[in-house]
Amino acid sequence: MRSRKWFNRLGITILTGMMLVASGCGSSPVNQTDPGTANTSSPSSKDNPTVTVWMGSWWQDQVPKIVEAYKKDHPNVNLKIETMPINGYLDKAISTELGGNSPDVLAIDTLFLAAMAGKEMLEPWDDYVKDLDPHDFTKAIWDASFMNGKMYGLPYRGESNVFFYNKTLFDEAGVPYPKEDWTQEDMLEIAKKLTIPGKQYGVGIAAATSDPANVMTSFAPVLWSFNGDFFNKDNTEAAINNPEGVKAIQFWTELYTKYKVVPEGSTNFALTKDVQPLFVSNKVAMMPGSTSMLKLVQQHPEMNWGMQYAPDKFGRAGGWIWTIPKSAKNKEAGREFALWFVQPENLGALSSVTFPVRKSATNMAPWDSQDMQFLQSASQYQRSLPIVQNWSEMQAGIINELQKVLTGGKSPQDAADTMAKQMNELLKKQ
Amino acid sequence: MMGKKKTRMLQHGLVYLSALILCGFSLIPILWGLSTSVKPEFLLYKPEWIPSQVTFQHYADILKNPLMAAYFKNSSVIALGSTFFSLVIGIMAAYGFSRFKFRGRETLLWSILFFQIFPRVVILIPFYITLKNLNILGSYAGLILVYLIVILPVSVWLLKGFIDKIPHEIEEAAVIDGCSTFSMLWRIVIPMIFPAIAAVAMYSFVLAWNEFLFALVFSSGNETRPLAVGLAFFIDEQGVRWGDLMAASILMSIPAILVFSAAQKLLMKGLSEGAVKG
Amino acid sequence: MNTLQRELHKKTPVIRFQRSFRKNMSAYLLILPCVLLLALMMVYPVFQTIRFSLFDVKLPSFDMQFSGLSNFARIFSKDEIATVFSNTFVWIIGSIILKFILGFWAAIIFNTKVKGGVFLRILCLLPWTMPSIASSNLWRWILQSDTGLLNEFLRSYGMGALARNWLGDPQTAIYAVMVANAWAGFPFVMLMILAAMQGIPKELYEAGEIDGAGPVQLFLNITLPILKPIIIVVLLLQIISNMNSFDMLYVLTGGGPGGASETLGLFIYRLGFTNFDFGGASAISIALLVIAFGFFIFYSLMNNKVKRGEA
Repeated sequence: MRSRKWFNRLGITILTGMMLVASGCGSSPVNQTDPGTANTSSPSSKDNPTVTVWMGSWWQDQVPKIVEAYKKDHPNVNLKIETMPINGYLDKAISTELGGNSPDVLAIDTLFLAAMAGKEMLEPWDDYVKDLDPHDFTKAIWDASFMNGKMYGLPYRGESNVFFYNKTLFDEAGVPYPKEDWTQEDMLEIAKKLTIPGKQYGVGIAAATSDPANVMTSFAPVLWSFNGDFFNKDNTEAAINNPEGVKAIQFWTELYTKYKVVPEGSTNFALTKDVQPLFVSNKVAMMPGSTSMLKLVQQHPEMNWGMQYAPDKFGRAGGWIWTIPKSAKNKEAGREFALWFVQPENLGALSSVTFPVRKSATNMAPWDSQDMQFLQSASQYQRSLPIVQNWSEMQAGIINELQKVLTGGKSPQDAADTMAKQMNELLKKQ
Repeated sequence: MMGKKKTRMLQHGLVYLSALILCGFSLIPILWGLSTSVKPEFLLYKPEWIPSQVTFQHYADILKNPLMAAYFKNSSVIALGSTFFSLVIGIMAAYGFSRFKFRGRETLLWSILFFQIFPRVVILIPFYITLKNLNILGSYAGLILVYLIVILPVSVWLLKGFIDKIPHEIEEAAVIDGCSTFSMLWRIVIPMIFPAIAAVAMYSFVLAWNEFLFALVFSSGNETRPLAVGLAFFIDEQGVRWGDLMAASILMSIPAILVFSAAQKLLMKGLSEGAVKG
Repeated sequence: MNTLQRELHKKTPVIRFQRSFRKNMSAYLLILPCVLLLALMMVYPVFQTIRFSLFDVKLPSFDMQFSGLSNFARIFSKDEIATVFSNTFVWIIGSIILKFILGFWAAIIFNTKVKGGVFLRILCLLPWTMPSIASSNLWRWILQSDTGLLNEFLRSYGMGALARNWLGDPQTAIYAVMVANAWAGFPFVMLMILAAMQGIPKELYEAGEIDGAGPVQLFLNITLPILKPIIIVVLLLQIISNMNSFDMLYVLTGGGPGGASETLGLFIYRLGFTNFDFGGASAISIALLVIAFGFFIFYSLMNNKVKRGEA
């Protein structure tokens, strides 16, 4: 009997505990300005505001440096930087914003901008950047911070994509190194000469669904080289199935299907995970890359490598920008931090592996080296992907169709038509 | 006699051969990971199983990293907490569902399973909002709660399956002896389902130890961020830092292996052994 | 006290009700923590999923407008939906078959007491302890076409003709990932079967052996029937978890090439965090739930029939 009583008591205790917990569950689940968030602006925090910042995990080692430098200039501000892995970065950012709990400053890839700004998750920057000189910034990245004429991000990082080549493989085959004014056709001819089927390949491409940015780094410059583009001038209609676009798709996919100058697994390759390892083990002779690629080859002192502008010079601009989420609590202090960060002297000193977006930030070490200055000189040839609302969905569709051409399931024309159809439907949706 | 000995030898031979194949299949990827974890950068992409040059730099880096120690503590709290609560709550519920016929039993039982059908992507945001309203976002409690939701359906259904198999007669005898529900559960039922409890405990621990998406979204900063999220730091837009990732993964699986080893004795406790002790 | 109560219970319906209430009271108390926890955490998600599936939701304000079944119509009229469902079907069936073959095999092996059995058993559980972020990338390395370990192995032992572009060929992609998925998942099946096998009294086997039954007959006539309830539970859990799984697939193929390995788990992820179509993702979840309800009602009807037949 005693143990039954004990048992019932246990049950009742658990029950009461749960009721208490459950009663904490407010009635309106979604409320951007609920009391829980309001208390951060209490007097004490005004004297000593806290600014929360989210950045990519590759900044981890730089965080103490940034915090210290900011403390020096802003002794009253409590800066909290949280780093986030790229896996799930957007998932976390979106969940947090929809939960009304965003950081004050959120760093994002320009590729995410359209999705977030289109869903009205970001505050505009226009009124706060009047003192900045846009010409000091890499043009492609500055432009990529705008959507429908409004600026939603403050650029701090701008990557230029150029071509890296393996000098050893060139020398073995007796092929001269690429010249500054080479074209896609030249690239193909060289690639053919450097390919030994099953052993080594002339060039690397990426087509992996799970890494869309990589695919665009590989494909978009080819599209632009052939005078094609994703949309018409004012982004109102898909242009990818124009003859130029189809020719570009054909050229890019025939590297794999017809000329076989790219590795066999390319249908599923990402530049980072797959092509880079092949490049440093002398199995791929040429590939696009930027600062991170430079860092990789520098880790391999046994390699003999070189850099050249991409064929026809086009590269996909890769950029990261500071954004202010709608549900941020301390927007003004957040903006102050972001503006402080992009001041040339700070930007140059605090950027680690990523390339500063401002030319004036590159006249100090390590940016004044010959290699870095070469990357800087390529920034003028960079173009950005279109900033339209449903771009990430369109991009997934484009990659899907490209894969179908690569695996022989579709002709370039059919694939381009499907892409255009999907893109036009999605354009109408916004 | 000879014939019996021969068949036994043949049987043992078959057992070892099968075990060899199965262990080989299980281990090959892991051994490659192990090999990768001790390779210096320039050997990384060479097809060498036994590296010609060995470095323990990756292990040293991880063990010296104070953040990794913090993540380890967070993972331990979360995984042990989830395992403990999923067992206690799971055993109670499984027993209730197995032994009592009450109105709505079937419906409740199935509903619990149906919760599993909701994809994580769909419940991620509602979970976030719920945790925020409960004021446990970014806390251990929040993460444990979320993992309980994932584990409990599995735990309840499996444990119920095992309890169903215990003959009612044993408990009926106990009732006549004046045993209460609780003492019956504690003294008779639990000892008889030790193998199932061990299995469910392993499942809970591994799930809470390794899960990534919830851990990323519902943890906050270094205070509650678990190891699984820490691992993702070794993959960035530069590619995979293979040496570090593999070294960290191998270090990270050691606690799980210890838990598994500890659970082995319970796992192989037969029905008869349990009953005798009960 | 006890006997007195029992005496009383026999007498009046009120007391009988009290008795039944008290008996059930402990049942309710037993299941209460579990049910309350699930209710606490799932009520809002379920509510929101249903709402999202029937309304056109504007993010991030959550303003909504009733849109009937248009979310369902939009998703189910997508070009790729048929492929996604057939891939999911192949994926679930294939994964379960592989996992059960491996899991059963391992459970039988490790249920016999041999020297070093515990050690070998733990070795077989190791795939399960690897975090998926590491194991999926390891498998990507193994299955990669040009320098992958599998193809290197085949080529160096004169079986180069068998080397394939495992992950990049629409014919093989989903099956290649399935093997990796089975690798990561079979220890769970093995563990559950092994635990269930502990409940089989040894006397049954001894009796069977005396009757002259061989190992296969013993397995079919004794082991399988006793394991059946657990097998069914594990099967159900596996169907659901494979339907939603996407870690392995996401890293290995991302659903490609050309959608050849896109399953529901990936598709819903794409709807949610690539297309930001939470309405669509919710609609498909509700549809799945309805399908599951259908199956389970069918199952329990069948079950009842069988039970009645037996009785």
